[in-house]
Amino acid sequence: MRAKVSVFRFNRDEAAGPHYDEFFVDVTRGTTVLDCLTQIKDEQDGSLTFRSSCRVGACGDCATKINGQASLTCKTRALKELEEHGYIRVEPLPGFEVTRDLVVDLEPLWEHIEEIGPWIETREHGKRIPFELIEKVQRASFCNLCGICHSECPVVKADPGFGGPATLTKVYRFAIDDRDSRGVKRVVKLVGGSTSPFRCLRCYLCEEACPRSVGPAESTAALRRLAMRNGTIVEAGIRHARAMTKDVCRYGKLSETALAVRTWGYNPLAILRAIPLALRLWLRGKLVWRTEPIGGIQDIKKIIEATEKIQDG
Amino acid sequence: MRYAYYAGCVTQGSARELDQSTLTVARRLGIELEKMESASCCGAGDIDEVNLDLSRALNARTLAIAEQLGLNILTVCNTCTLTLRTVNQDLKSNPDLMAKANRSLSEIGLQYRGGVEVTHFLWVLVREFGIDQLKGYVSNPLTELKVAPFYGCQILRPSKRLGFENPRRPESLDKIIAALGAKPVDYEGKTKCCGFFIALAEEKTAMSVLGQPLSDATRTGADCMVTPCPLCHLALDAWQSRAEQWTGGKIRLPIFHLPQLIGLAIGLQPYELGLDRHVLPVDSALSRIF
Repeated sequence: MRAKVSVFRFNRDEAAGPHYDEFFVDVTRGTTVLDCLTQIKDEQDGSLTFRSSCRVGACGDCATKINGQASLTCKTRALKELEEHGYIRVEPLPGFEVTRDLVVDLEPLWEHIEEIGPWIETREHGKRIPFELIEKVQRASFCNLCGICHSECPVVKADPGFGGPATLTKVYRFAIDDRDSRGVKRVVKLVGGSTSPFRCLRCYLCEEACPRSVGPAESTAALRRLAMRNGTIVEAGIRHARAMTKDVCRYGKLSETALAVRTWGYNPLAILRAIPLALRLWLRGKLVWRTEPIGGIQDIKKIIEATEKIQDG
Repeated sequence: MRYAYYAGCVTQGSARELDQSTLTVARRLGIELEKMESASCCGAGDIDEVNLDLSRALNARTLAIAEQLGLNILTVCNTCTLTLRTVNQDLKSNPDLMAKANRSLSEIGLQYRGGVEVTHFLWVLVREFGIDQLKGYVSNPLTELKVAPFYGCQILRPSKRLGFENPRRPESLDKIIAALGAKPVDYEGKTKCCGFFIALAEEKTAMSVLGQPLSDATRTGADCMVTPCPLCHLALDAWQSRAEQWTGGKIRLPIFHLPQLIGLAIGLQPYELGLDRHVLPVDSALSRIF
């Protein structure tokens, strides 16, 4: 089958500027998008520039945007894309500076990774990792830093100072490894900073896009748990989670308005800033002033007590 | 068709118009909803980060109440759907976790045996009720309306917990819009995030995130937006004016809850659907309907 492949082109040494070139290639059942690009380079335009290495989804080198979705070209079937879209459009990974055609500069991601010290620090050489941790450490270690989750993350897009899902997954990988002398201190250090796990939107775009199923959103959630259990510094996200838990223990449900005020730590400036919005909500009957406990609150309290007793052992 | 209706905190708090419109529309469609008045908050992923056992025990109670009623749970909130489904899957797949949660539940004489499924109103309408049957109820087709479907994250992702449809190219909401006679518009932001989860903690970042789907939808010429989630609705409706800094100008896009849009197409009046409770007026969209 002949397939139309539209490829993003950019060469800073040429006057043409960013544009798309269209190519036609032969595809069969097993053809990947990487095969299409290779066919174009070999037979039609030798100047087409893209990255690839392992061809089996292990190295992460060939991350691009295919029909709007950040993916690995070597793991994406051409026929499936044609079935869904009728064409194949390949663009560089969004969120990074384009070096040439489909090649982007991943340096901003490397800088974040470097900053967390992605190595085990220990004086006890030869110490073995406990068996029950192997699966968790291994899963996080599968991350090949392809940059797909970093490119998908809306918080990174809004603020490049945020390390993003790959960096947080790397922190998690070392924080839970008990051979590492820094361990949870790595997590505690992030709280209140630009790569705090509490900046995560829980949109799961990273989790869904990860070609290695590393579970970046799950790792980030685990970091939030570790931070709350071990840290002393408190930021808005921590206040929010704790206030919510208290509400449910007290009323069985949220006290929405009070939750906002407690998330801001009763900060008068934040409260002042919220007044115009609060007024608009109030005018439409959306501001909840009073919170009455739910019907089953006595049962909720008994469950909380029982659960705490079980946890205390 | 009968479900245990789990409304959730926001639906019974700031977004009471969603509760009202869900009950009114379900009654009209003949879907029986038994409201779970004594159910607690799902914890929205926050309680499970403070105390995972507590989150599982509280949600196991909700699941056990539905089991006693012999009904599956229907929610109208993406986050409630994800949280309840996550706990339900974890308990069902791990007998140790189920036993632990049941030890807490035994204090109040309840046990959960794993016989409940958790679904969302949107899914029920598409799969159990059926698009064709819904079309049969449409008495006031919304033919003049271009509607931007906004799915919200936690009804699509993570797909291993939700799994109703392809999270990259979902169709359920688009199908409902089309069934109501309106035109669903396609835009990049329809499967993206509304920023709700960090809107209180970090407003600036959240508003820039919220701005993307709003400006994408406006560029396509949409008259309004519809969402199956009250948290997305709160962000898109109440915070829209604050996001305008990132959208390059005024948007003023009316935002509907899913049952409100259905209600208008099946002959209900705006006052029956709580349309006067929105921060942004929906008049511009209503003028294309009535």
